[in-house]
Amino acid sequence: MAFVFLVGCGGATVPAGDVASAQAAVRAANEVGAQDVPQAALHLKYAREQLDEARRLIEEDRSERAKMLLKRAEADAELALTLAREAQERKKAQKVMADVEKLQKMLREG
Amino acid sequence: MRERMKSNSPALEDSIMTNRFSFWTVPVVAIALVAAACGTPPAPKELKDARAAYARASGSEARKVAPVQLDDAKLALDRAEEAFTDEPTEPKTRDLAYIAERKAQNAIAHANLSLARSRQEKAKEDRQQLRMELTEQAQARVQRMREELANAQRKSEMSKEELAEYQAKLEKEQARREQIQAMAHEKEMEAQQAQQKAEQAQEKAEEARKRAEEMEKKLEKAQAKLEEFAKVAKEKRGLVITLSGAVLFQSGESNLLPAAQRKLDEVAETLKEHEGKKIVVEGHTDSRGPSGMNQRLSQDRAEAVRSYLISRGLESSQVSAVGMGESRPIAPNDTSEGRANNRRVEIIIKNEKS
Repeated sequence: MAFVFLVGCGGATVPAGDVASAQAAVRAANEVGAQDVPQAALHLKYAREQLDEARRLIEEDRSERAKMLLKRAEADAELALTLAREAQERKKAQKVMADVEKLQKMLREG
Repeated sequence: MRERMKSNSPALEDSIMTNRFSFWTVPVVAIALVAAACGTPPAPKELKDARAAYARASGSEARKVAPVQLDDAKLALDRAEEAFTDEPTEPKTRDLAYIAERKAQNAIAHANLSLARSRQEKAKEDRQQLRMELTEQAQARVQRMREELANAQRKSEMSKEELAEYQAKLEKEQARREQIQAMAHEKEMEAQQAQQKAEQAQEKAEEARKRAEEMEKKLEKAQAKLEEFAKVAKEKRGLVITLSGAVLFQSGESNLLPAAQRKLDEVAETLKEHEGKKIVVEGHTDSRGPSGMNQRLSQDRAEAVRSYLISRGLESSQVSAVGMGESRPIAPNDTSEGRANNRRVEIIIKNEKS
């Protein structure tokens, strides 16, 4: 993860890229169906909350904290994404393994 | 952050710049080091969680299957430790620690993801293999069934052949039987016909017999009638009806007496019964007078009788007349009775047919 730090505090601004990046990560996690996987949904929730908090802090001109919150949000969103994909792959693997079991049974009984 | 770094020890400065410490994989040692460098503020919860998470990730399959993500997690933890060293109580430290924990968790999740994918791939291979085996199994079974079917068909073919043979035999038998029946029927018909013929023949014979009987009865009747005034006798030369001359003719004459005609009618009727038989009318005299005259008289008389008979319906070709004169006496001529007897007409019905 690249940190783009602006020296100083208070008067520094948050690059638009940071916000966009965090937003994109949240969207990605959502699209993969993180809502439907309990652990993933939890982290997606955190990501959204932190993104909202970051936006508020940007309004209040507290850039340093806002940046950190954006990074936190992104980290949660990425985790949510991975967890959702993990759940997906698990399901797919289970399906194929179920097929294998069925076929083994058929072969035995054949 | 670079400004604040100046207050740290050079060794730690170096380590922070390179961000690569092998013993930071052991959280207890890292905590001790940081505590030694910055005094004794306790690590915030977020940092403790981050260190624990990284320890888990580093000891898991992530090392093998998610090395990139694990490295990321390490980097993040390093930054968090760095911040903790510099500003142990600042929110920034806690934020960095939070992020480091998420990244460690992400590395684990990524490892699980990869493992699940591998499992899926392996399972797909297994599935493919099993499908092939099942197909082979099914094919082998189909082959066996085909063979069994072929066998059964062959058997049924044979049975069909046997059946056809048997049926042919049966038909032959039936044809034979029908033939025999037909022959039997024929024989029956023939027998019936023969019987019919026999019956017919019998009927005909019966009829003929009846007719013969009738005829005989008629003849007998006629004969009986005749015998009232004529002598009827069966001789070798045929049936001889003898009529007295006195009954037929006046003495010395050859014209028939009227009374004679009635008698000759009866004779004619009798003669008609003998259809087809030759009839000879013989005239006879006694020996008195010249034989020449007797001959002529007897001839005239025979012809007179013949003419009369023909006039009564007898065939002229059937009846012939002949005079015998005195040549055939049937009684001695020296008595009057004898002579009377000799004076006669004989009508002979010959035995053979004309």
